[in-house]
Amino acid sequence: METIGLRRWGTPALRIALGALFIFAGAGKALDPAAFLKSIQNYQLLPHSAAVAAAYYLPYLEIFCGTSLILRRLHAGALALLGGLLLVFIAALLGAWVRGLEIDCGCFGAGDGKAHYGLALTRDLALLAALGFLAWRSGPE
Amino acid sequence: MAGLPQLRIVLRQAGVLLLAAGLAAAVAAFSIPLRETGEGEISLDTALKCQPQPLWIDARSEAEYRSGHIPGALLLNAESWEPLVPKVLEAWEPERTAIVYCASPGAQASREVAERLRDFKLGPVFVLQGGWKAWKP
Repeated sequence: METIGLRRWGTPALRIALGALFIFAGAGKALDPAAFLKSIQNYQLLPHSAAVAAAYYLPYLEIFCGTSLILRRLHAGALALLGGLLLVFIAALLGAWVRGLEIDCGCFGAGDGKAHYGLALTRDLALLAALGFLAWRSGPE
Repeated sequence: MAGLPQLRIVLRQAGVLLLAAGLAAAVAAFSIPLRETGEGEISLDTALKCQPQPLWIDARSEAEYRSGHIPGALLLNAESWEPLVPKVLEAWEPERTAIVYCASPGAQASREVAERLRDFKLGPVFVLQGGWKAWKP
């Protein structure tokens, strides 16, 4: 009974929670693209023009993918894209950590300006695991 | 071989989402102008790790500049903007980070110069945290 309950409510609850989290993360950045651009530039990975494009593009990708998870429309594509995004974020965080940069991760818009690499990486890995779980539990529409 | 149709579905759905995000971003780029505010500061530690080497801009007076400046820094201040800015623009290769500093932490001169440089949209512009004193305490 417990397993059926978990399957019936647990997976949709996780899907909706993840969707809401990505919408929240994307909305914060979409409302202040200049602050998000600064966060991207802090990583010193992209040339200016590419950083500007990413500052406008990534927030909407997160919002659309988050919405897809909640509505369970195009959700297989959304899971794949969010998984890819998280892998990119993890690689960028690791790169900044190795180079000794003292920067805020910018994951949820402008932060406190301090580096919390362990926390950010743990969170991203947990999110990646949650997306993997959802991909395993839900087949394509 | 059940994986191939599934992969096609995933790719098709991802393509739709990528396109939708692209359209929304294009609309946003027109409706929310990107105003890189004067808040953009960079620490000396981070600045020294910039690759390629940043373009240092000294926003102090000419006398202060002559008495000592960061190696390679170019003089550019609001008082002599017109005669000095061409040399800066000539040295500022696209995508190279420009870092402005002035006499002391919190001084307005570097913020003003940074703000005006951002209008050229040649590359990222930061203000050095701590100013000249961070370089030479």
